[in-house]
Amino acid sequence: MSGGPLDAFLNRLEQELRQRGHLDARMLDEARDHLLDAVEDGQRRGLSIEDAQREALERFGAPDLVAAQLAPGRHQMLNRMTVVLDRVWSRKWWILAPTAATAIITSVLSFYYLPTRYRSETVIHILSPRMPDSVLASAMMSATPEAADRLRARVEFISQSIISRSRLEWIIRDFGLYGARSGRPSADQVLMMQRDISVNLPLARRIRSWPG
Amino acid sequence: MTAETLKGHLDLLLLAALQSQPAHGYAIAETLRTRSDGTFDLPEGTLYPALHRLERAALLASRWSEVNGRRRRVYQLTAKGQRALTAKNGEWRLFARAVQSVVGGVA
Repeated sequence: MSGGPLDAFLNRLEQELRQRGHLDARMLDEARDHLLDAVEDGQRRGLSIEDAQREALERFGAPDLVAAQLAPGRHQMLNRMTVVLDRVWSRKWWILAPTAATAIITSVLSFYYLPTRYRSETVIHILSPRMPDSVLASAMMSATPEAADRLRARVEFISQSIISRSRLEWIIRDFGLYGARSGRPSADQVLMMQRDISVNLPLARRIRSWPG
Repeated sequence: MTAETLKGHLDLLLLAALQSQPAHGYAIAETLRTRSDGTFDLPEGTLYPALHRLERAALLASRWSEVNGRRRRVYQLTAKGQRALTAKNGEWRLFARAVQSVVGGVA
């Protein structure tokens, strides 16, 4: 370097570039070479070194002007973010290497230590579908005589299903009712249970009292 | 001539300055100054951002080279840069002729 003014200028240029988040080493190298060429050229034309340096710096332009050409119109916050991101990027292996190592170790350990089969247990409680009384009551109140007849027939069918022989046989057998032992319950036992069962519909009175 | 006036034509001037042979930044600035008889006296530092931009656009290529015992960044036209120079030169001639025909009679 030829002297102090050029160094001071290059330091200011570096500062301007850094503030704009555009620290460009190549730009600084080219600026240094350019200024040295210009000073040598001035001295060849007979200028003193001080005058040659002054002329070289004047022709080169102000540091902020040159830096602004390299990073024009950027917001200060954006520039700072760029500087921070550049620093993070320059240390990217500090982040990537531990992450990759952790991932590899976890994968290997998982491969050897985690079971390949799993067993799961659960209890399922199944409830028969049931129509809410309120819905049924509403249906009764708004039913036409024909609909009421259909409902009565439906209730009768349900009653018959409940006291059907096949159904009662398995209830008597499974629960040992009416002194039943193993094997098929007798006709008397089924008859006794049919007598003991009554199907009462809370709304039956309303159906029977339906006019018509 | 002001730097602002030159700005719109800087790409054409830089490509034209490199047409005959590769050159480093200071030589390019000298070429512009001498060929224009000192008219194109823009801040020389602002040439480098323009050179870098043209290189990013693949119109120029550059490399470090040893010139007179010192390392310098030397720029040269690419094939794409040569085509761009021809196109911009054509546009400039058209523009200059049109401007001349409008203002030619003005004293």
